[in-house]
Amino acid sequence: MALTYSPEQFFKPLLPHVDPILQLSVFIVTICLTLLGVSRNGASLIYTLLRYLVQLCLMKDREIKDLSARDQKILSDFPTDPRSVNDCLDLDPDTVIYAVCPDKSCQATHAPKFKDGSPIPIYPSRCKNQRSGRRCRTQLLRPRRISNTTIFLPIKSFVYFDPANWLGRLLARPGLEAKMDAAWDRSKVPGVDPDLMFDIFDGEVLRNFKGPHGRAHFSEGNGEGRYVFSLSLDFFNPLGNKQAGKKISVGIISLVCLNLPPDIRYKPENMFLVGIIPGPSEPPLMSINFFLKPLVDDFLKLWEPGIYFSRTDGHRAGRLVRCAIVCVVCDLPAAKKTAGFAAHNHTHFCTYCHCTSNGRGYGNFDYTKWSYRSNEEVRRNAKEFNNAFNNPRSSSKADSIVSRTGVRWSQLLRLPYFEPTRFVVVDPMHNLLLGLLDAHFDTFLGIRLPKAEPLRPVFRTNFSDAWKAMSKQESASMRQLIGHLEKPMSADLATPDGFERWVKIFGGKHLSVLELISDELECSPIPSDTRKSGRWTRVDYARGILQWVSYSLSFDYYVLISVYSAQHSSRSTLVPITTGLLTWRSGVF
Amino acid sequence: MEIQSDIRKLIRPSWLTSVPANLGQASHGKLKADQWRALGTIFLPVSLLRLWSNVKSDDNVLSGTNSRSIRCLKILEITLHLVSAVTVATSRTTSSTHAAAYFQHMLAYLEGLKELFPDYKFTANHHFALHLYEFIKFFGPVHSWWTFPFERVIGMLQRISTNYKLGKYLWFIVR
Repeated sequence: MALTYSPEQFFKPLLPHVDPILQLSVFIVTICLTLLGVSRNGASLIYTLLRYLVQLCLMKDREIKDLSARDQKILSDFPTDPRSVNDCLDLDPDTVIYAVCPDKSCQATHAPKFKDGSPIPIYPSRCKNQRSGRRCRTQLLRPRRISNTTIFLPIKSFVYFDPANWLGRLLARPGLEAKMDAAWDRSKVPGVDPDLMFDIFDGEVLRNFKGPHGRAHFSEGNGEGRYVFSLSLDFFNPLGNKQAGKKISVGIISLVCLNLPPDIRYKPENMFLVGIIPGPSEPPLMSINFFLKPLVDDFLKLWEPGIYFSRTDGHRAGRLVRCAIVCVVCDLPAAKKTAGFAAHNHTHFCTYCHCTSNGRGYGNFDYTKWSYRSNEEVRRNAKEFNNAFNNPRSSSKADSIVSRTGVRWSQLLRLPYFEPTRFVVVDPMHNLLLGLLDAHFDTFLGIRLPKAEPLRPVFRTNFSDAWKAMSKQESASMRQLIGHLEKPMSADLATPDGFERWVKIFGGKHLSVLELISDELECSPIPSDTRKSGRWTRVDYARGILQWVSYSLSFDYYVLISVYSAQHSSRSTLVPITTGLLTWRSGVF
Repeated sequence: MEIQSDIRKLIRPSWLTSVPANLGQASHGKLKADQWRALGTIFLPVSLLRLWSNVKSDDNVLSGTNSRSIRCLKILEITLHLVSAVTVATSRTTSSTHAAAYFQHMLAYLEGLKELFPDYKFTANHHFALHLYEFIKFFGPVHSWWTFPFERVIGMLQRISTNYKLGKYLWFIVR
């Protein structure tokens, strides 16, 4: 007998008999709260402001006491706390919160129990997971005081979202159910080459995917809803992928309904987030199964006998729905973990064949001699492993099975239709784009340059140490300017635009610094207006210095040398300067 | 570098993923998967074909003494095999013919690599690349089974602003 799920709440009109002004306000704030990331405090502020705005509009040419009873009611009904509104709108999906063992080498999950109708979940106080013959017994809970009573809540929790609830919501949305049902014959268009594949439904796996009773194709369900999903599991760093910084790893389990047309399939509102595996470290090899277990439990029900939805968009009287997970889409490390295979650097590294990294290793491209894994064989190995793993006396045997076969066990194997060899896809994005292209360009084409050499100074400035006595900011300015002066800038200075750009850069520095440089280089500032008298501005100094640079460099380097030698007693610096300038002028820099 | 100037000069549709014009310097950071795709299937073939393919005539003149250009030509050849394989594999529609073409190119690329760089240590990715052939036949066009959309979700989650307080969710439910 199929379970029944009644998604009636998704068909009720939202906020019935409520004034449109209020409906709109609630809508605005809810969007801010859920989509735009406004905090709860911010949301109540917006409510208050909106209320005031509405009040002002209503009172346009009346006193507040003259407002009609209806208007008064709008104002008094204005919500203040966004939480109460969320409850009315029923936005939160159904969840089950599991307690996770905080020991990072265990990370077992524990389901809550509820005592007759009380909303307070009860968890075991210590971890019950058996590891190599011993109970883990790590403390799971910590006390929390809520309104003068102490309750025990998990230290670490895993929030699991109910697939039936999500599916009910999806099927309640207008038009989607019809599109999802049509997926099975979308590619059966006459006149198109039957060999061409437009979507996953044209692939071999789904074309030959048998239904729960093994005879008919999965899509032939006599009016039942038959939907297929892809499962993805990936670990990421919520703090961003900076080289420096904390490395923590959080997992994400998500499902995508492949029956949705490809253009809307991957919109965030259409993807199902099953749960977030809490950090800060990835669960160890077999512990990932704790997080998959609730999902697999539900998908077993969704396969046989199916779940009966008492109402969907296209079927007012209800409909039986059956679902299947037909592929696991992950990057290599996560795919291995999820599907219960040994890591990708294990000797038996491949999920699809018996190639090993010993002997000819990864470079064995003699594909005609590869022997492929079969579905039954992997399942047999996995079963063997699981039996040994769960028996406290044979944990070493379990290890030997892994090193012999490269197979562990995964919850996904409980799904009767799951084929560990074919359903675990090799992700083309990681494999081809991030893997092969990256490696090829890096190793063989050598695109990655060695770190760009800092430009050699074209000439060496030799200012007196006067600037070192200046303030911190001023000497920083000075250092930057010296850096600029030593750069090859003749090409820039030759064009008016380039010249102006440098004037801007130089003119942005401290006046005292510019004065000093101007003094020591013996160049006079050039004012923008020759008739102007009095104090020079920073831009004037900048123009003077740059004029000096471009003049001495691009017209006659002997001038520079003479200027230079006038300032420096040592003549030995002159040779590099001249050669530097010569190469510079011939455009090598 | 020639490739950098080609990236700047190439006129391309605005929807195409942009590739750092200072390619090769560490400052642009790691390239994203899609940038690799754009670079590999569009920019590099254009540049490398221009740079390396016309050395052929010189070779005839020098009667094979120019070993560098011959090597370049060979590397170009395997690069183009790889690029073709990627292009065929990421096609929006596919077929068993596509899959077979992919396999031929990928095999040619890998064999070529082995010949040109006998010391190179292959990785598991090179092995799995050959299996992609089977998966294209099993599941059809890659857009329904690659991880791009999921990685995007991760990007979204990373950008959510939080107060760095974990586990208060339950607390609110109980209240």
